[in-house]
Amino acid sequence: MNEQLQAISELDRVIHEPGRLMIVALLWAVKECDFLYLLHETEMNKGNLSSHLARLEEAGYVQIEKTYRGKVPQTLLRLTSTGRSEFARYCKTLKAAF
Amino acid sequence: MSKALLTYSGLRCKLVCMNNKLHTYMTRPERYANIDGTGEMIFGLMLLGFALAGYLEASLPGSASKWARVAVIYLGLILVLGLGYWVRRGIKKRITWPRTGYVAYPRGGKSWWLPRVRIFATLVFGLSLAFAVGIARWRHLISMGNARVDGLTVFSVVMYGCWVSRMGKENWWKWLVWFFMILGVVTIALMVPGDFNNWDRPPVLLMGLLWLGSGTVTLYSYIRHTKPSNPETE
Repeated sequence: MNEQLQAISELDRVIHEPGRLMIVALLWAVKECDFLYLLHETEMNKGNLSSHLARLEEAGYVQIEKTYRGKVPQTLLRLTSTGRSEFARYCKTLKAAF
Repeated sequence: MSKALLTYSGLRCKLVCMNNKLHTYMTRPERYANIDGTGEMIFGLMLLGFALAGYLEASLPGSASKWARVAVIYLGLILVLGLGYWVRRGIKKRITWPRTGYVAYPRGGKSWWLPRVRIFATLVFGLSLAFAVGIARWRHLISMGNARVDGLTVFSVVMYGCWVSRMGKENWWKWLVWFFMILGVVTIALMVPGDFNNWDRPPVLLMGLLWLGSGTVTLYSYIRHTKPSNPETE
């Protein structure tokens, strides 16, 4: 029981928030995707998604690149290597907690 | 103000639910690849390519050389697969990405051994199958052409079943297509005069048309339920 509680306390708080967890899990399975894809899959509003992405970028877990697809602006998102290793660690800790 | 304490079993239940949700999120991008039905269309076109190659080969005169037959088969396949590639690219670029977003998938994984194990397993399976077919042919149990068509038909029926089971409840109508697929193959087998070994290209043609049709209906439904977004506010 104590070990499990310890595992819970070790969960990364940046990833553990439900919205951000959803974003990181979706980004984990892809090489890169755009803002529109995350908006569609998470069903968040643009403001919420932007603030979560800003928090993840600040922690160094997500790389955000502003680019163009033809003449249309596009925001590309990908997990950094730190983000990938932290998410793998998060999953391991979560499994250890139950 | 009342404070509800989370019991140990409640906490455990919450964590298990969270883990399950996490798994669902991680598998979602994989399903997104066929949200517009392009995956089914490609497979349908590939089967139609096989059927086309078979019909082209059958239309050649009996005196045609072995190399001419092989060239005709490859020409049919390359034409259809090339068409499939451009159709998929066009749909993704003009319809899917502006509506529900762009996704690039990783090529392979970080682990070096998994692709090698897959290749090895495929080689072992392919060689075993070739050996079994060779023995059966040597003993005059089957002819090579029929083995190819039977294998392809069974493979496409099983694959469509696996495909539908992964698509989720929202695409329940695909089970009807699957049922119709099996029914169609059985009907063709019963309608062809003579024994079971006499049937040839029609099952592959039917499979190809059904896969392509299923993909087209998925695309139509996707277009109906989504609309292009305004990218300026990203």
